[in-house]
Amino acid sequence: MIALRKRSLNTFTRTRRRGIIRLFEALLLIGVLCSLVVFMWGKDRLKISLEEVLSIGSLDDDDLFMLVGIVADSSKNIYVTDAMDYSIKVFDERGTLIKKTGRKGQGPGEFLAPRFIDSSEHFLYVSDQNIFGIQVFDKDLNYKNKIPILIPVSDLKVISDSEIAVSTLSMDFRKGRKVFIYNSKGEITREIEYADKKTPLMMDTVEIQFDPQGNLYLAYCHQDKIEKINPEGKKIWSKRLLGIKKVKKKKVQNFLLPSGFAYKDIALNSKGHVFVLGGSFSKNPSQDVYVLSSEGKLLTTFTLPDWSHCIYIDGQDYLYSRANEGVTLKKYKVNYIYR
Amino acid sequence: MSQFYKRKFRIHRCFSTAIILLFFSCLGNTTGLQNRPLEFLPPDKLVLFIVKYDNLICSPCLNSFFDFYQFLPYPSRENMVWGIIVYDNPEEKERREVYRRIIEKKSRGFFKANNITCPIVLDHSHNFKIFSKKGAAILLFERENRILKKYVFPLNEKQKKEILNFFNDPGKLREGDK
Repeated sequence: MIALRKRSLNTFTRTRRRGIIRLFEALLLIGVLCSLVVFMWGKDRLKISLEEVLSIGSLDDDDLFMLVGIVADSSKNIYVTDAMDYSIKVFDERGTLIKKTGRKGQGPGEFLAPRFIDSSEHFLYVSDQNIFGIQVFDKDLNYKNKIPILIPVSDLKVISDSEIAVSTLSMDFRKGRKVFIYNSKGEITREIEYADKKTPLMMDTVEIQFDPQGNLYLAYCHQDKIEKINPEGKKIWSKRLLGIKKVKKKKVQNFLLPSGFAYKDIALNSKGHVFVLGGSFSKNPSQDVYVLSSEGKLLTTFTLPDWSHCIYIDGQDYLYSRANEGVTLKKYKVNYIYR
Repeated sequence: MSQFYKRKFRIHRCFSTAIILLFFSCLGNTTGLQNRPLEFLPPDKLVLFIVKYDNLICSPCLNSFFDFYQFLPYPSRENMVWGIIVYDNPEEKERREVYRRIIEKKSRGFFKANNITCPIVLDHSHNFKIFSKKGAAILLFERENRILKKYVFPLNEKQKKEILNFFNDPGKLREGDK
């Protein structure tokens, strides 16, 4: 009887051991499979590193006082707006200040708060935060004319000399949110609606960018939203990267305004990658840049060495941002590393 | 100017000496803003305008100040008027020196572009912060007659007149206070 009991106990122990071994084997297999998946997924993962190639404006010189807008042209000249001395400045590719124009005022070629700047082949287009309209200059910074736009501009992109896209800070949200395309006479030739009529004040402020196919990319300043809209006005994708539900608001005089920035700027490189500069909700506020594919897939994130309110990518895929609170402009070569 | 302010800012010689000392405590930072040598000694009559650094990026906030500066008699405004930039230090200690130089640079560009040609100093010691709580302000100071008055922008016509009188004859202002 005792011998029979011992045998059945041995069988039970052996079966249990076998079970444990099988479980261990299964876990091992799952582990190997997971590693394989991670490896395969990681194989296409992009990593970006920045290599500084140019720095304009030191703490001691008088080249830049507060850089706001940046644009570079095909002859590698760099044009910037400077809000502290109410000017536009052009630097050559080595960073030497070639020319400066503008002064305080509201007349032709004058500014109160110069802001966005963009260029076509022959002209520069400059907006002012406190003056309606877009001033046009030639590449030698000679004032040409003013495009009469009677709305406050929150971003400006030149598609061609006859197509200037403008997103607005308009307070009238009954009409819905639109990006307006103006011709050189200041007439609206096209409108792209991107948000409905019910959103509160300033919540739909966007930074805009167009790709060569005419697709519109939007980075919402006060919402966790990045979107792509095709030339017909159809939303292709919408992406949230920060995991924030609501941006806090604070009362300024009688208005309830958003108090933080989700995204600060958007830029495209020649490969169609979308670079979005994160705002106050990013891990490194005003430094983290999210890189998405043209299909809206997050490819990677990298961090700028200094805080910036803007990013700009030129035709050769060099990335520009600001440093030292706007007294310095940095130009970086973007190195793409596929792991 | 209300009686309250008149009493508050009519002060004893010791306090006026303290103001001069405060003022000198800022002078160490002039080199970054002005190319003038530091052998300058403040005159007996001083007009200090106090401006918050944050207001430099808000041009409309300082419009009344700019208008008034251009309204002051030349060359007295270059000899008697000094600007003091009040600012907050960043929390990180290691960033403070860089930040100070950034403010110096920005202020230099800003005041030059706005035709403000008087000497500008940074309130490195943060002693003038209390005078700028309500925005840009002017302090009138006359060493011999122990006068100190404060005006906050925007100024009304009466205040402008008082300041102009101070430039021409500080004694008048003193008599008016009585």
